[in-house]
Amino acid sequence: MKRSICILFFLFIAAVLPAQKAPGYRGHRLFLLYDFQFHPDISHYTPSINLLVNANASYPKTTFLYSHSVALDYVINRHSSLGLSAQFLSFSGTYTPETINYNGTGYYVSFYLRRFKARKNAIAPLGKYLKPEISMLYYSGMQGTSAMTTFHSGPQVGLSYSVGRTYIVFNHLVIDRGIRFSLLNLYHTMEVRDQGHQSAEPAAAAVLNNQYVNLYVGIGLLP
Amino acid sequence: MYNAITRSVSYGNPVSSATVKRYLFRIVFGLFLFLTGFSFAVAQDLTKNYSRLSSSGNLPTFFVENFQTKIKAEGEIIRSKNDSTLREREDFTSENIFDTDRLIRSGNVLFNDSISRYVNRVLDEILKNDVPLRSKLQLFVVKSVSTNAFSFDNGIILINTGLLSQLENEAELAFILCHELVHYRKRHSVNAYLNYVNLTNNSYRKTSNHEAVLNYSRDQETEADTAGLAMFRTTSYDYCAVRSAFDVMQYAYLPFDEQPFPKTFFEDKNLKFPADYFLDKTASIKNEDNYDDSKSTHPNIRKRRSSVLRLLDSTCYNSGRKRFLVSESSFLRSRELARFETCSLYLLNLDYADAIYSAFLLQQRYPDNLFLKKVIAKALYGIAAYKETNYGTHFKNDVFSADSRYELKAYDQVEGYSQQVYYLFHKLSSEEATVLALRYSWKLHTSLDYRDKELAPICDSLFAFLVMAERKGPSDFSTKTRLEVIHDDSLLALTTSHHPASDTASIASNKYERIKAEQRKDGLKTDEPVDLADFTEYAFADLLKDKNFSARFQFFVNRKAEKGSLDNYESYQEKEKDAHRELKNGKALGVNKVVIVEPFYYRVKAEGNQKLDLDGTAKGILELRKTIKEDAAKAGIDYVAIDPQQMTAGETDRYNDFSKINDWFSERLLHGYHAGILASCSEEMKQLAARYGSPYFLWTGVISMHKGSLGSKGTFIYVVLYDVTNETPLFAESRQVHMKDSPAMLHSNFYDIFHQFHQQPRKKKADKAITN
Repeated sequence: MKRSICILFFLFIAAVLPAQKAPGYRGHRLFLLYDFQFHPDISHYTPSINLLVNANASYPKTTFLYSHSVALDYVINRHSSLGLSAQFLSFSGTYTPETINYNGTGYYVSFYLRRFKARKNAIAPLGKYLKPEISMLYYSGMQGTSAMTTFHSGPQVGLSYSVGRTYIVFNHLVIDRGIRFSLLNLYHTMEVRDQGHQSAEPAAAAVLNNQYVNLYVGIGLLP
Repeated sequence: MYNAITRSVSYGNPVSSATVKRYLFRIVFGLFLFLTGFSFAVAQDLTKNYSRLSSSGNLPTFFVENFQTKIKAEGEIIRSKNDSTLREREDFTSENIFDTDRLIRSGNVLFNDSISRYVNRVLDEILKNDVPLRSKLQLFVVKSVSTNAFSFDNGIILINTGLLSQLENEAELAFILCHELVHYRKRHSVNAYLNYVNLTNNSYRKTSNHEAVLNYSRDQETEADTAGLAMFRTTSYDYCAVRSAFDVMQYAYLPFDEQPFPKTFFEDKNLKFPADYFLDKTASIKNEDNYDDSKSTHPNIRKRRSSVLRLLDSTCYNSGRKRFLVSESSFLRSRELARFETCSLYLLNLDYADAIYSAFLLQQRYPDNLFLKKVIAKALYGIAAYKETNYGTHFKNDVFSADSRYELKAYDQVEGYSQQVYYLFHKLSSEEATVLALRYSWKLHTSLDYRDKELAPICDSLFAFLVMAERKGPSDFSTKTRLEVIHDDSLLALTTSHHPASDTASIASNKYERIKAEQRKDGLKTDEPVDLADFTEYAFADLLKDKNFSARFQFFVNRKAEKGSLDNYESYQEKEKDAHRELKNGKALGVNKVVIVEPFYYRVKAEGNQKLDLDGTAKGILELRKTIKEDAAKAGIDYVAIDPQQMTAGETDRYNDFSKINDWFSERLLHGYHAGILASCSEEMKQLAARYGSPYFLWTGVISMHKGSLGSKGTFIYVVLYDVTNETPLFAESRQVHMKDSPAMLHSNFYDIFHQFHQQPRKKKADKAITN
C-alpha cells in the first residue's frame, strides 16, 4: 500500500512540476477522475459460461446495477493518456421462483490507454477519445442476510473498449461521459460455499451483464 | 446573402453578383481584400527614389473606436426616427459598421498622408457651402489597384489609389466625389438592403429577386450620376471632366498610360532577344462601352454617360470653370505618388508584367529612380521563380494549397502596348527568364556597390535557381561576348579559306560550314548580332569578368556539390518524414517570442445565410485575446501584439507597421505553397523583425459556427507562423474542431499550439550520431 502511495505521489509531482511547459491541458498532465457507471436494464441475460451450479435454475430479473470507479490519468503526448483505474461494483437481485434476495460487491483494477481523436482535433485530455482497457476483476456476494451462504469469484481477466468524450470547465474540472463495451468471461472460476449455489449463477450473470455495455458519466479534477 | 460590397455603394467597376456568395471566404481573408501601398508625409524626390506611402499624425477616432461603440451610437440615431423598418435598419447598420470597421483597420487605408490631405481639400472645395454635411464625412485613401471609390452610410468615403492613378485632372476627381456624396445623402446602401429584404420576404422566386436587386442597384447608380452632376454644377469645376470621368471608367482595365514597350528595353550588346520574342503589333484596344449590364450592379458606361451628358449639354455653360481649383501641382503630385504606389501593389498582387510595364512608363519621366529599377528587378525575379516549376520549398497542406499557384495571364487576353510585356514573358523559358532576371538584378546590385540588402537575396535566389533547377554553372556561359565570338569564328573561317591545305576534310569541304562561315562574315561586316535560339549563352559574358559575380556563382555550385542541395531549397518531402512524429508529439520549434498579428474572431450563425453574430463576435474577440495571452505565458512564449483594434490614437507608427506586415502576408498567401520565393517587401519585414525582437510572426484566428456544415456546431482555428527573415512557414494549420468554442477548447488548442512553438527541437538520429 505504501508503495502504491509512493508511486502515485511521484507521478503527481512529475505531473505538476513541469506543468508550465508540457503537453496536456495548459501543461496539466495528471488528473483524477471519478466515474459513475450504470446499466440500462437488460433482462434475462443467459450467461455463456459454464458455472458449477444448478443448470436448471431460472434466472432473475436484475433490479439495479451500478459501479463507481476512480482513475488516475496521465497525459503522455498530444493525443494519448495512460491511466490506472480502480472500480467498485455493487449488485443485488432476487432469485426466483424461491424469492431469495442476494447481493454482492466486486472490485476491478484496470489499466488503459486513452487515445484522443487526432482527426477530430481532440487534444488530450479534452475531446473525443477511444479507450482500450484491460482489467482484473474479483467479486463476492451472499444470499439473503446469512453470511454462511456466500460465493466468491476467482480472478477474472477482462477487456473493455470505451468511446467517450471529456469536457473541461473552469479550467480545473473534467467532465467525462461515454459508453463502454466489455468482455469479462475470458477466464472464469467460482468458489461457492454452503447453499450459495442458488444465487451464484444469477450473481455472475448480473456482474457480467453490467459490464457488457455500460454508460458512464464522471467528474474529475485537474490539479 | 447581402454582403459588404453591395452594402457600400461604389463608383467604378460594376460588382459581379457572383461575389455575393463568397461571404465566408471574405470573412477569413477579408483582411486581405485590398492590397496595399503607403504614403509618406514628407515630400520625396521622385527623380531619385520613392518611399512607400504611410499614414501620419494621430489615428482618427474611427480607427480607434470599438465597433460596438459605433454600432450603439448609430443605433440610437436610427431609433430616434420611428420607422416601420427600424429592425432592418438596425441590422443593416450593425453589419455595415462591422464591415467598414474591418476595412478601415485593415492597414490598407491611409490617413493624413499627402494624397489623403489633397483629396480632402477637394472634398472641402465641393462642400464649401455645406459645412454641416462636410462635418459628417470622413474621406480616406485605400491602397488598391482597383479603379474604384466607395461610400458608406456612416459617412465614410473611400477612394482607391488605383483610381487616382488614372485621373487626368482634379475636376474628374470632384465629379466622382459628387457621385459618392449622392450615395451617402440618399442612403443608397440601406435602401438597397431594405429593398432586398422586402423582395426576399414577399417572393419565393429567387431568380426574379436577384434581377430586381440588380435593377434597383442600377437605378441607384443612375441617380448618383445625375444627382451627382447637379451637385457638381454647384462647384466651379470644368464640365468637360464629366465626360472624361466616364472615359477613365471605361478604360480602367488598362495601365495608367499607353506607350509602346520597346524591344531594346532589356537588351544590350550581350543580350539580344530573338525576333520572335516580340510581337510585330500589339492588340488594339477594343473596349465596348455598350456591354450587357443585365448581371451588373452598375449600368453600362454608354448608358451612364448618355444619361449625364444629356443633362449637361442642354443646360450647362463652361465659361469660368476650371479643371483645377485646389491645386494642379498637388493633383499631379498625388497622381504620381499613386502611380508609384501602383507599381508596389502590382508586385504584391503578383501582377509582374503590369509592374514592369508601369515602372517602364514612370521611367520615361524618372529614368534614375531606384525604386522603379528595383520594381523591375523584383518583377523579373517573380516571373523567373514561377517559371522554375516543380522546384523550391513546397509547403503543401490545407493552408497552402497548389490551387493558389501563380500563373502569368495569357497574353492574348491583354490589350494595348502592355501586351508586349506579357508576350515576352510568355515566350521566355525558365532558364531565359532566370538569366534575364539575374543579369538585370546583378547589374543593378553592382551599380549600388553590392550594398543593397534587397538585391543581394534576390541575386542569391536566382543563382540557386540556375544551379539547382537549371543545373547550370559559370562554365555553361560564354565568357566572350557575342561580337567577340563572331569575330573569332569569322577570322578562323577566313584563315581556313586562305589556307585550304590546312584542313581540307573539315571546313573547306563542308558545304554547311562554308554557309555558316559566310553568314558569320556578314555578321562581322554589319556588326549586327545574329538571332540565336539560345540567346542566354552570352548573357553573362561581361558579368563573368566581375570577380564578385563569378565567385558568387561558383559558391552556389560548390555548395550544391558538397551538400547535394541548398539549405533553403530542399524538398518538402524531407520534412514529411517527420509528419507521424509531429502528429504524436507536435512540432518542436524552439521559439521563445512571437509577434502576434491581429488575431481575429468571428461567430457565425450558420442558419442558411451565415449571418455574423456581432455580439458573440465582440465577446469572442475579447475571450480570444485573453486566451492567447494566458496560454502564451503558460507555454513560456513571450509575445508582442500588433492589433489595430487595440491601438491608441498615438500608435500610428504601429499602424504603419501593421500595414507593412499585412502587405507581406497577403503576398505570401498569394505565393501559396511556394515557400522558397522571396516576397517583394521581404527586407521591410526583416527590419520589423529586428524592431519587435523576433523573426517569428503569427497570424491566427477563430471562426465559430453554430449549426453549420460541421454538424450542430464547430470551430475553425487558423494558425500560421512564419520566420519572416527567411520567409519560411514554420507552422500552418487550419484546425476543424467538432466542438463549441468554449474557453476550455480554446485554451486546449492555443496552449497546444504555443507549446509546440516553444518545445526545443529534438535531435535527429544522424545529429546524435555526430554528437556522440
